[in-house]
Amino acid sequence: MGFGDILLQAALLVLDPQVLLTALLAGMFGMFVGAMPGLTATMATALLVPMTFFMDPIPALAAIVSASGMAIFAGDIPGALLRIPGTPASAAYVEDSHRLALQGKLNMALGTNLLVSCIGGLFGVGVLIAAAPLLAEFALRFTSYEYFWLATLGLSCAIFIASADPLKAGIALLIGLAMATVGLDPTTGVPRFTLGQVDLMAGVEFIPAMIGLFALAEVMRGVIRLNHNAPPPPMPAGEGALFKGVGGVIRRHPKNIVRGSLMGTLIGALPGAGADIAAWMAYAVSKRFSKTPEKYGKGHVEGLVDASAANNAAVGGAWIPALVFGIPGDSVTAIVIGVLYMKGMNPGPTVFIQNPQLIYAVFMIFILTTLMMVPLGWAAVKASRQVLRVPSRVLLPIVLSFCIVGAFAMTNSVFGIVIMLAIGLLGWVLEENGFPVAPIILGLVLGGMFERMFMTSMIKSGGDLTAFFERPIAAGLGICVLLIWGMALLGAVRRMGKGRGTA
Amino acid sequence: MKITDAVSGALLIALGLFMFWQASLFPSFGGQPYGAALLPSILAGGFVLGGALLILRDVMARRQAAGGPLVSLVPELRQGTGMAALLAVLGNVLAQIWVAQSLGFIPVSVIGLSVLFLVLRLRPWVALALAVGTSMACWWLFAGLLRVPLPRGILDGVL
Repeated sequence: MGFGDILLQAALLVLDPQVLLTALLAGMFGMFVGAMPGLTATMATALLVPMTFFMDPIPALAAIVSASGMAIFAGDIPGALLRIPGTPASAAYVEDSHRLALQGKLNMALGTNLLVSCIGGLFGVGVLIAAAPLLAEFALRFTSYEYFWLATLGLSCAIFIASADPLKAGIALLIGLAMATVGLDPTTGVPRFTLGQVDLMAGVEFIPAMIGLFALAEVMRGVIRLNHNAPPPPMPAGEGALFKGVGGVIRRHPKNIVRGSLMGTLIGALPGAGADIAAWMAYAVSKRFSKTPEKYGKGHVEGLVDASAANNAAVGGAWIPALVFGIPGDSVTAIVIGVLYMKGMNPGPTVFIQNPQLIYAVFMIFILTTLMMVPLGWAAVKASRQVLRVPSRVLLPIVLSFCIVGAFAMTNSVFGIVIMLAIGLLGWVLEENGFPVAPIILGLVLGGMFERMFMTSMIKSGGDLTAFFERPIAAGLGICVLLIWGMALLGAVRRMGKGRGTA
Repeated sequence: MKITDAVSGALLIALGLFMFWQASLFPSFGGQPYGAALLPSILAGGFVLGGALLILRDVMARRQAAGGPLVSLVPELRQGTGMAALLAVLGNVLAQIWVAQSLGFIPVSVIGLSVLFLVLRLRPWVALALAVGTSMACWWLFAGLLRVPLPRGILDGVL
């Protein structure tokens, strides 16, 4: 099959009216969820998956791509209007965008967010399109040793790069990996930790667990923190057309856009680190290299440009390891991998050879939804004043309802609800005590592959650990992992020494 | 629920020991040195080590500054509607697990959501209208469009 044929087939898959309509509706849903404070892009995806379960692969992926991208932009809207970021990815520059709004530049700030998000998103997709097929060709030669190290590298990044407290992140990751061992063992078929429950033989259902961690736990936190006496926050007025003055901002900061997009894509592609961290790091780098760092946090547009480009670029970047290796770049792609497995489209380099039209269809959907972000975002900004008046006490119970039916739909039994409740409660308690929950989902998703590759390698080598370093790429990856761990341990020992010195 | 790191550390060690014990019961196969117990045992070791480090860190921090109680409630739970709202949310989920099979999804959802909305201080008629609207929307979307077998319960003949 020639490349032209592949593109034609992919275009036919994408231009199906059902796919386009799904992408549009999911995009509107993503805009809404992202714009509501307390509801995150991951939650939008988790709530959407039970519905995509019943669709063909392409509309299902279109829905997820569309919703997650839109939600990341939409998080900027309440950030500017209310100084409350709609999603964690918008938290880095909320101070700047809100102050701009107070200075009467609301539309300029949001217009910049929107256009720069779109440019950043396209940049991330561009890198995805260019890099993924090349990497896939390379990855075809990988054996269980390379995959073992890749999975370990991903898990290590989640602990050391993406979290403030590596010890707690590591424990969260162990919890996820331990959950992944529940059910029939992949190598010997022995049931493990099933507590005598037949339902647990197949393992912990992934989507109900996701809904529990990212939606139910969030609802619990939300209803507990509702403060009935607080007056509705005032919203600054927006004047003039949305994109007025935005062209000037973009012309003045081309370097920031490129830098933010590049950083966002790279950080997104790192397993375990997603749009949130991309935005924080791009903002910090922007401040570091700016001529006017003192203006940051006081209504300065420069950091906003870097970070808004970065968080949307990360959305595309996160798909690179997900599609090529089956290793999620962030929590949203962790869900995507779950969905791909459910659809029988096992992520990995072979998809690029067996079903290239599906991969190119995903690329096209990415471009399409990123462009769609501009009109949808414009409408969302226009509607946001009314939408943001919907109080949390109305919204949270509705989200709860969708959690319950969504979890039920994944197993067609109350067992899905049971898993959602158990894991939601666990996630809530852990998060209240400073344990991050994203590593749990990473462990749960990667656990199966990690164990399969580990066991295959151990059996092949007869337990000889040096075999893990015999192939060149495996050795390179293994050394990277050891370096990350070594540096982290060294840092911890030094900190402990310092702590003693001051005591 | 706020749990001090020392207590969570102890819980993690207990979990690790439990996993060790369970893993030691997994059958092994002759001629196959690595079996179902290998990864769970490694993870169990991780839990024991992680738990011990958490305890160590907490004890060292407590030497420098007096720590709070070992287990306490999240402060928001003691204020306003916090506790009632949390119980209402959990009640909704538990009712769908235990009661919905016999009573049906819609009645359980309407009653449960009304209670939750009332706890969150919505006016009664608004609460009821929202509860009915949300339940019907979920039913229409999941049972109607997506053909999910949500329990019909007492409304079996009606729907």
